[in-house]
Amino acid sequence: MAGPAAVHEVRRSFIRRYIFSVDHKVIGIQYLLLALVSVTVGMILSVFMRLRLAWPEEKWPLLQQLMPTAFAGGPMTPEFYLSMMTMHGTIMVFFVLTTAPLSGFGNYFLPIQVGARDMAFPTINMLSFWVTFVALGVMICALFVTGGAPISGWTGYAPLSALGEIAGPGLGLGQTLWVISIAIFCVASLLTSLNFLTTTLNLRARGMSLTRMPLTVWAWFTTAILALLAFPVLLAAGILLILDRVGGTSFFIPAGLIVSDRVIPHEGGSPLLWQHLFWFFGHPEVYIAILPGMGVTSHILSTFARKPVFAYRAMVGAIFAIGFISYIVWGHHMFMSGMSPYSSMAFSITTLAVGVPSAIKTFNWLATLWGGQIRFTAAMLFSIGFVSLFVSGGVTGLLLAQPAVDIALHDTYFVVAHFHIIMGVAAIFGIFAGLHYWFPKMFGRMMSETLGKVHFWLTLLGVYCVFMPMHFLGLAGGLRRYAQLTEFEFLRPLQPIHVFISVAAFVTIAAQLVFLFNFFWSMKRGQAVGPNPWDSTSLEWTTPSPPPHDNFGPLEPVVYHGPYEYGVPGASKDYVMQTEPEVEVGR
Amino acid sequence: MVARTLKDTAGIRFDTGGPGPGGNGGEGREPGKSQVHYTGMFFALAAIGMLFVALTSAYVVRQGLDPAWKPVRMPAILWFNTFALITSSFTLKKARWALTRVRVSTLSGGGATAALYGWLTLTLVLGFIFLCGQLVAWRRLSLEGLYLSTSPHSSFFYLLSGLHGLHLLGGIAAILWLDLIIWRDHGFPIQRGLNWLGKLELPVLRRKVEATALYWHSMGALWVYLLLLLFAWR
Repeated sequence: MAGPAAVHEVRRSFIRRYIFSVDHKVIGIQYLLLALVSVTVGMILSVFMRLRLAWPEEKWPLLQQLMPTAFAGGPMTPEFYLSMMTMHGTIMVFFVLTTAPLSGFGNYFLPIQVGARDMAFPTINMLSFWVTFVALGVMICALFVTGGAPISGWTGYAPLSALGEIAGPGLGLGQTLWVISIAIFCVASLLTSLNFLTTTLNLRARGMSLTRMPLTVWAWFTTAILALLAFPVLLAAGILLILDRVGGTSFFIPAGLIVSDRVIPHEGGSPLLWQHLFWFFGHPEVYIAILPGMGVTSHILSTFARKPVFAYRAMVGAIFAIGFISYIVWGHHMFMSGMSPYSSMAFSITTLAVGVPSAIKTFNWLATLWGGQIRFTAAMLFSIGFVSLFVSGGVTGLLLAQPAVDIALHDTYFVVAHFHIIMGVAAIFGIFAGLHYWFPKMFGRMMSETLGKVHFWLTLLGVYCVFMPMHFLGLAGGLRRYAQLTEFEFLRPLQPIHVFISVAAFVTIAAQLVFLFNFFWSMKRGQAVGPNPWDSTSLEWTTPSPPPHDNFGPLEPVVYHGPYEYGVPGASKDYVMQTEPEVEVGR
Repeated sequence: MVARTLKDTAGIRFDTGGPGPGGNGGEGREPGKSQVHYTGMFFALAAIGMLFVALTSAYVVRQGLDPAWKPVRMPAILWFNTFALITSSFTLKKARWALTRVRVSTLSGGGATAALYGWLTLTLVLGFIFLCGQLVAWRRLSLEGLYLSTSPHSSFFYLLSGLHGLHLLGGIAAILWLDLIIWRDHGFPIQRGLNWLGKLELPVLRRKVEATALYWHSMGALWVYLLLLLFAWR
C-alpha cells in the first residue's frame, strides 16, 4: 500500500514475500533474475550462431547426438541457424534489454528515489511480472516444439511469419507461440508503464519537485511513456498477425503468393503494413532499451566524479527530445522496402536530428567528468564504457540514416555491428553499471571491486573485438542473416574475420563467468555495508541496506535539494543529501 | 495518522531546486486525496487509444490498397446497441450525481445510496444489453455468410467490435465490483457472502467511481468512433 498507512513491516508467508510479492523491491529483483536467465539463454543461442558462421562445414558429433534434427547430416542446418538468430534477437530485445533496465532497476529504485513507499498499484505491479514470466515461458516453449523455433527473425517480417508451416520449419507452431508470447509481453509492459508514470506523477515525497528528481527517474519516466505508446502498436500488429495465421484473414498476405508450388488462398494484404506497424514500435523500443542506461550513466558519472551533472535541465530536455523524435524515425528501417524518395528524405532528416540531443548528452557527460575528482569504481568504469559505446554505435547511426548509404549497407554486418554496439552492448553496460552501483543497496553487501574491474576490462575489449570487425565485414559486402558466407566467391577471403569474431565472442562470454561468480558470491560473502557506501545523495541512500518493506520506516522523507549536490562550495562534506534540511552554502 | 518527518520543516525556506514542501511535490499522498486512480486510468486509456490508432491506420492502409474494397452492410441492430451504450453513459452520470450526495452518515440505506446503486445497476444492465446486441449483430452477419475471413472489411468489423467488446467487458467487471461493494456496505442482506470483495472507504470509492466512469465514457466514445470508421468513412 502506498501512503503513510503502511508503516510497519507486515509478516507474510514465504510465498507472499518472495514469489507473489507486491513489494516493488522484490519485483525489481524478480525482473533482474528473469533477465539474467534470459540473457544466459540468449548468449547460448549466439554461441550456436557463431559456431556455424566461423566453421560452416564443421561437424559437431556431440551436438549432433544431443540435437539430431538440428545437425542432420553433420554440420548445423541453415534452418537451425535461422531459428537461433530469431530467438537470440527476440529474447535479448524483449526479455533482457526491456526488462532489466526498465522493469528491473526501475521497479526497485523509482519509488525509493521519488520517496514513495511502493508503486501506485502494487497488485498490478505483481501481475506485470508474472505476465512477463508467462510470456517468457511461451517463448522458450517455441524452442522445443515440433518444427523448432521460427526462422523469420526478431522482426517477424510478413508474409514469411504469416503463412504458417508451408513457408518453412518453425513457421508453424513455433511462430504461433512467438506471436502469442510477444502479445502477452506487450500487455505486461503496459502494466509496468502505468505504474511508473502514475507513481512518478502522484506519489513523490514532499519537496520532490520535478526538477529535484534524479535523472534516472526522468529516464524511466520517459521510457515508460515510450513503452506506453509503442507497445499497443506492436500488440495491434501481433493481433493482426495471429488472425492471419489462424483466422484466415489477409491483413499482411498479398494476393497470388506462390509458396512451394502452391498458390496461397489469401488476397489483398500488405507485407509493408507489418513493417510500418512493427517499426513504429521497433524504433521507440531501441530507446526503451537505451534511455534507462543514459539515466544510470548520468547518475553514476556525477556520483563518482563528485560533481553535479553538467546542465541538468538540458539533460532532461535531451531525454524528452530523444523520446519524441523516436516516434518519427521508424521509416529509416524501411529504406530498402520500397518507399517514396520524399518519405525517405523526411525520415532521414528526422533520424539525423536524433544526433542533436544525443550529442548534448554526450558532451554533458564529458563536461561532468571534466575537472572532477574521479573515483574509478567498477560502476564508474562501466558508465564511462557506456559513453564510449554510445559514441561508437551512434556515429554509425548517422551513416545509416542516409538512404543512399543505407541501401548499400542495410543487409550487411555493418548494421549488425551498429545495433549491437548501441542497443545491445551499451544498454548491457548500463545494466552492469547499475548493478555495481546499487548492489550494496539491494543486498546489503559490496560486490568485489577487483573482480568487477577485471570483468569490465575483459568485456570492454571483448565486445570491441567482436563488433568492430563487423563494420569491415559489412563494408566489404558481408551479408547478414545468412548461415554461411563461404558460398560467395567475394566473401571467402573474409572468413578469417568470422573466425576471429567467434573466438572473441567465446572469450567474452567466458568472461561473464567472472561477473556471475562475483554477483552470487558477493550476495553471501561480500563486505557488509551501511546505508550510503558511495557517499551518494539520492533518497535510496537514506534508507538501510536493503531497505525495509515500506522503504522509509516510520519516517516520511522530505526533500530539500536537487539530486546532484556534490562538491558544494562551503559545505562541510563534499556532498549534500537530498533530505538534509540545513546546509551552509557559501555563494 | 500524521507521519513524522525527517526534520521539522517549519520556518525553512526552500530556494533551491523548485518548490519544496507545499509545492507540487508530494501532493495527494494522503489515501483519500490520492489521484492515482484517475492518473492511472488516463494512461491506460492512452495505451488503449494507441491500440485503436494503430488498427485505424491498418484499416486505412488496407482500404487504400484494395481496389475491390466492399464494405459489409451495417446490421440494423447496431443502432439499437449504440443507443443502449450512449444511454448507459447518462445513467452512469446519474450514479455519480447520486454519489456526490452520499455522506458517511447516510451510508446504510440513505436515499442517495439507493439511487447510487440503482443507477449503477441500470448502467450494468445497459452495458450487458449492448454486448448481447453485438453478439446478435455477429450472428446476423454470419447468417449472411460473412465471416471473419470473408472480406477485409468483415475482418476489421469482427476484430474492432470484438476488441471493443472485450474492453467493455472490463468496464462491466469494474462496475459490477463497485456495485456489489455498495450493495454489501449499504444494507443489502448479502453482506457475509461478499466479504472477499474487500473494503472501500467513501473517499476511495468516489475516486474509483470517477476513474471507472472515465473509462466507461471513453469506451462509449470509442464505439461511436469505430462505428463511424467502419460504416461512414470512405
